[in-house]
Amino acid sequence: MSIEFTNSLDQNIAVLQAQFAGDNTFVTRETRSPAGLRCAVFFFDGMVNALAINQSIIRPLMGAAYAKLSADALAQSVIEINDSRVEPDSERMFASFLYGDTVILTEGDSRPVVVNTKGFSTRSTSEPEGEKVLRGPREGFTELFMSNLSMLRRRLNDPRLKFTFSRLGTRTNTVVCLCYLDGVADQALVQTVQNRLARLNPDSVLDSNYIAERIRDNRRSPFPTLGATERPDVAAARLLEGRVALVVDGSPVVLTAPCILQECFQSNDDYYISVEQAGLSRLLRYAAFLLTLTVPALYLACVLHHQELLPTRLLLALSAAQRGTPLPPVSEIFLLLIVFELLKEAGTRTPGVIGQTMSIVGGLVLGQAAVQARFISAPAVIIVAVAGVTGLALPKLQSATTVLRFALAAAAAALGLYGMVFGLSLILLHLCALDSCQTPYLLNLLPRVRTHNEDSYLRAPWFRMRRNRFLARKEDP
Amino acid sequence: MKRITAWMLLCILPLSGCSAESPLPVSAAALSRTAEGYAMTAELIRQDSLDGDAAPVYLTAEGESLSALFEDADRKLGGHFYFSHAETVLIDLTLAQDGITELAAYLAARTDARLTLRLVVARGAPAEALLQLDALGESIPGVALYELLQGLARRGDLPDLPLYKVHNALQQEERLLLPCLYQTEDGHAAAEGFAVFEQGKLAGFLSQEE
Repeated sequence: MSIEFTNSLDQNIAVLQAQFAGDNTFVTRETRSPAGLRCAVFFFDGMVNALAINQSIIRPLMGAAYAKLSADALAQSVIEINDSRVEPDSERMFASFLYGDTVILTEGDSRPVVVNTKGFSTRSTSEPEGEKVLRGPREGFTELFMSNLSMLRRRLNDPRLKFTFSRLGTRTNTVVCLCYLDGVADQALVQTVQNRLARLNPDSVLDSNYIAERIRDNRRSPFPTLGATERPDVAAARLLEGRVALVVDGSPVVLTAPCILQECFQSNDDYYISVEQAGLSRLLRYAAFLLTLTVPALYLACVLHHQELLPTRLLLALSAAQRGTPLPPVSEIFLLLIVFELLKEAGTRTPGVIGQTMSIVGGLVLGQAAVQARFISAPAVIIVAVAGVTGLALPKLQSATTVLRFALAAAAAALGLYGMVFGLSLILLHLCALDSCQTPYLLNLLPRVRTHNEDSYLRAPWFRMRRNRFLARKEDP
Repeated sequence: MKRITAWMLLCILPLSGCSAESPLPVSAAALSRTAEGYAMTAELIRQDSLDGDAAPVYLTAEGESLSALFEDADRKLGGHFYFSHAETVLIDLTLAQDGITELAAYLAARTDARLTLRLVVARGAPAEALLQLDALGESIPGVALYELLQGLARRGDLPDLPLYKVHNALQQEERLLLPCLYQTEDGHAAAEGFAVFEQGKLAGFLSQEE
């Protein structure tokens, strides 16, 4: 959007009003001081701090003792707000104006004065629902851009913390901030992310995921190759480790890069609770990953292809449970996996307590009723419940575990244990081939790509955690 | 690439076990020698009760050779003679006297026979009759027999001789002791004494004390 202003205030007012005709939130306030100074103040209702406009813009303008003032003099001597500037570039002027700043035009000067009066209402800071902790900070990012940056700045009181702004979205003109610790983050990494952002040309960016899906490596992989968090403490920790963060205006989710598989098994709690408890929890998460992927596949492989592997009594129990049910085991498992995903989806989309209640009612009542009605066998319900519940222990790998659970179950149903092992091998090969911003995805998990890091399978106690900057530059002091 | 993947998926779809066959597992078998060759009575576990109660059913088969015998059993069950869960094989005196080397080698070579299978010699009654005797505390006599033999071996009252050890001993023409099974007065099967095999053939019996 570009407009040529003139020295005539009336013409400028007419131009702006024409530009925003039909927008009832657009407000024009003309002022004339007793000395004869004529000005026009433009802002959007609801986007600005009205008190600041009244007290720090309108009142000084009305009391100005000059008949004529330049835009520079207005910004320097009259406006009583810390952030005010003369903005001759109309595109930048509009970007600020549409984002809650106030524009002031004066008679005899074509250059507008832009004053920071942002005052739109936002959600208050709260603990992110998806990243709750038992112990530790409970603050979460919000949709407010500057507030999110301030949360990072508060935690990293380091002059080397850099915030580099850019704008994305031809229609939304969304501000995106690249954050990194200069000297800690590898400059090549910073450059890589900057280059990827520069190549983007989306028409809209309403959430950080709009960017994440465009800039991440291996876009078709079900594994996340770009980190995401709603917690400033987590984002700060990742910056300290040498990663970069992307804060997107309007999104409480901050992206971090690079992302490695190890991150998916880490929890915020790990660093705030005792090292023993954290270690046990992390081991359970690794076990949960294996269980959620392999339990349905293993069941199908044993029941359909390798019954000889089952102890006789277990085989008889499974056979008794299966007797009288109309569906074969493979159909039961796939049907239940789909029902589980449906219940999870419905529980997530349903608000608050109703969602939880519905999940419990759906899980218990439906499962119990289906078994009693001999529609589904009890072992199939147990298998899917184990796979589902263990999958919930890994929120960052939900999409990967859901997709791969189905794939492995299909492979096991078709080819038995051979199919399952073949599927697992493919997954391992895929993980070995993955990287995130030139960082191997299995960093710290495989011996050949292990670096000096005391935080891989288990975390070391804090007194032994000399440096947690496994991605940081070596020369960093 | 997408077409190839789709074709591969279509090709493996028929393998996906949608037909869900549940074979009747064999829990134990009694083998004897006849004039025509071999005879077998196999105990199968039928799980047709909705309450989960399993019941034994018995299948008899005959054949000129051991492979013909198992093929006959397989034919009678429509190709579903499922031997993988068999844990005990009772050997009739007729077969024991004729020699068990061939039997042990045949079972050890079968892919569906467990190497932990236990061989036991029937004494004082035909093997198929002993197999069908009521068991105490177990609805499936074959399963009860295995638990009895397993328990005695664990206590040290019987030598621990699973199929692979028997097969190895017979291959090396070593003297072999197999447990004997007889019918008690109250109509149950019990283990007592040993059958002595020399060169794979029954050479005599030893009491528990001997």
